[in-house]
Amino acid sequence: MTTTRKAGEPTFNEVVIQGKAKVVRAFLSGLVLGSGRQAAVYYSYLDGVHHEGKAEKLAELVGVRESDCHVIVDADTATWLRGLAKSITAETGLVVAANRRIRGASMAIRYEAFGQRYDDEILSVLRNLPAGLKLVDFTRDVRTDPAATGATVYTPVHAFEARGRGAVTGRIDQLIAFRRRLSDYPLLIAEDIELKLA
Amino acid sequence: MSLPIPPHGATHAGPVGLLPLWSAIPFACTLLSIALFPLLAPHFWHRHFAKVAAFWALCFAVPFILWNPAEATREIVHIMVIDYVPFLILLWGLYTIAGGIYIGGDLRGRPAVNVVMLLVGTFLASFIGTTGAAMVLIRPLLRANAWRRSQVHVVIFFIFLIANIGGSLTPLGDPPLFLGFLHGVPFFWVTKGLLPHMLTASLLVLAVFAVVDTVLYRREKTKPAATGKGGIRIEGLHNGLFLLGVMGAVVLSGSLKLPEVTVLRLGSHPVVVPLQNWLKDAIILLMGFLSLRTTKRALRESNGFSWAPIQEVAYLFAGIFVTIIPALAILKAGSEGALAGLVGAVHGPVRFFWATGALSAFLDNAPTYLTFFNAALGDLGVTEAMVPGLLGYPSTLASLNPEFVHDLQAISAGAVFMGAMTYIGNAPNFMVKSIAEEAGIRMPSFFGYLVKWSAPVLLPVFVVVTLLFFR
Repeated sequence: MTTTRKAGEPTFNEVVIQGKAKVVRAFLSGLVLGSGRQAAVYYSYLDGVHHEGKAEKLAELVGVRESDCHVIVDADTATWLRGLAKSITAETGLVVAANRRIRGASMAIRYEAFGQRYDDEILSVLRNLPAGLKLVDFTRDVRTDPAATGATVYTPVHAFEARGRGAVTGRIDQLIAFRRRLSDYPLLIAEDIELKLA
Repeated sequence: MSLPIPPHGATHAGPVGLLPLWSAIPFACTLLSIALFPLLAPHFWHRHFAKVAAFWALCFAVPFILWNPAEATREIVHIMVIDYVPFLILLWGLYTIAGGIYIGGDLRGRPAVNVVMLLVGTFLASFIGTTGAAMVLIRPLLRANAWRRSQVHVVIFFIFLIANIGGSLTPLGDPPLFLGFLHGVPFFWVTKGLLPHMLTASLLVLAVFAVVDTVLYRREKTKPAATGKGGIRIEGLHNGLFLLGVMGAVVLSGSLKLPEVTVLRLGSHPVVVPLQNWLKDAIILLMGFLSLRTTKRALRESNGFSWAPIQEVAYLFAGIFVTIIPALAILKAGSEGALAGLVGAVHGPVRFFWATGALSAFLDNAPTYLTFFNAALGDLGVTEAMVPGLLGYPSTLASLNPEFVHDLQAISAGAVFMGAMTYIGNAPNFMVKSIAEEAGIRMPSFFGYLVKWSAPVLLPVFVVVTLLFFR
């Protein structure tokens, strides 16, 4: 899913650096801090941005594939890192394997609520998305069964059942911030953020 | 296919004991319906469970009556009078009385508070039944923990301890044990016989809970402000007297020896009921009605009390008790019955514990207990009348049999403890899950519960119980 970028809006790149994620993170943090830059840096493994499949993870575990760290940075920082790539490799052995512009990002969401109050709460979150984010392909199914009120032991059903699914798209930094906020809503399940790269 | 016509009274299980194995198919289908429909077609099941139970009951009862009207009528009347009606009356009484006790207040879900609530509930479950304890305590526990982001583990351990393991100290605690009582197991044998197992299992589970809860509590970003008194308020406490009345009636029925009343003279032997059983049922009914008369309706409403759970038990267990007839008779027939192979294979406490437990995890634990109880009788070639003597109680029919004692401990512990392994293992599990979900908690799926929670926490505990008590 792609979103149209407005003029003047910040853009972001995904930079892939070969090496252990924690090592890359420590190195980049020091590099950015030392440079005094105001850089926006997000690590895919920390913020639920999809960066490797199960097969790749397994290959890393058994040692047939080099581990790498996917980092999302603002465009200026990406350009700066591109310029430093050779010296980073020479001095640390870390290889900048890719540096590509992010054209769009989306995150699938779904929920199940068995109380009107929780359904309302989730709908309110989805209807009041931060500016720049958009809810797409959203479907919601509500089922009420007045016969199902009260506790049951052998025939468990709920008097109110709401299920919804869809996707939130938008700028990656805003999507990451929104995904972090969703930890306050345990019924709303956010899948990994999928990136569309240039 | 024709049913074999056995010689009259061929085995101590009666002619029914020689029924073919396929006659137990409706029983298996009843249990599978209870296990699978809530997962696969919950709304269909909610509306039609009574019809499904009746269908399976008729699948067995109609050919059975056509085959041998006198014997079939006798068996059906016998199981209804001896098992079903007292079972239903006890569950109704405990549920009605427990529903009148309301626990409110201003508790904060800190680890110490949660541990104390689970501990109290675990012991309470043995006296008001696992369903009653779950109904009374789940809402206070959810209210106390409503401020926390991590609440799922509290509900899961509640199911482990209060809805299951805690019910093992008296026949009032869990339906399987009451069925044991109805079939001759003395009331306090359960307490004495299962106390070490119950203490071991519940303290180990509680210790795991304390660690998990403390770790998750420390991760909470915001802790609740220490406002209010933070105490608990118990209303409807006079229902405790009615509970004592129920317990007294059950104990009394196990110790009194009043004349027997013949209910039906048909088939191989008459259906008789000792008068003390009717006295017990009458007292339980009286206690239940007194509870209804003397407790404010608002207290029951606060507990989310409704008659639906008892209606479900009434319909489903009518089906279970009719269809279980051939299974029990075949198992009682021991080496002469169609399940001689199974009776021979499941032998000794380790196998009884794990076999009863494994089936109790996926099927209802009450009929599972009854099945293995009869398998143990068949294995030793003894009858129900000998059970008190075999367990070391004064009897002219039998004397203490350590092998049977260990077998019955294993069957009882397996049925009660392992009901916690899945949502379908014991009736209150689903009730607790539903109430938690309606309170906004994302409960794990059927397999999520099994893989992430019950298997890693409970299986090691059950291995310890096996090594300590059943080796």
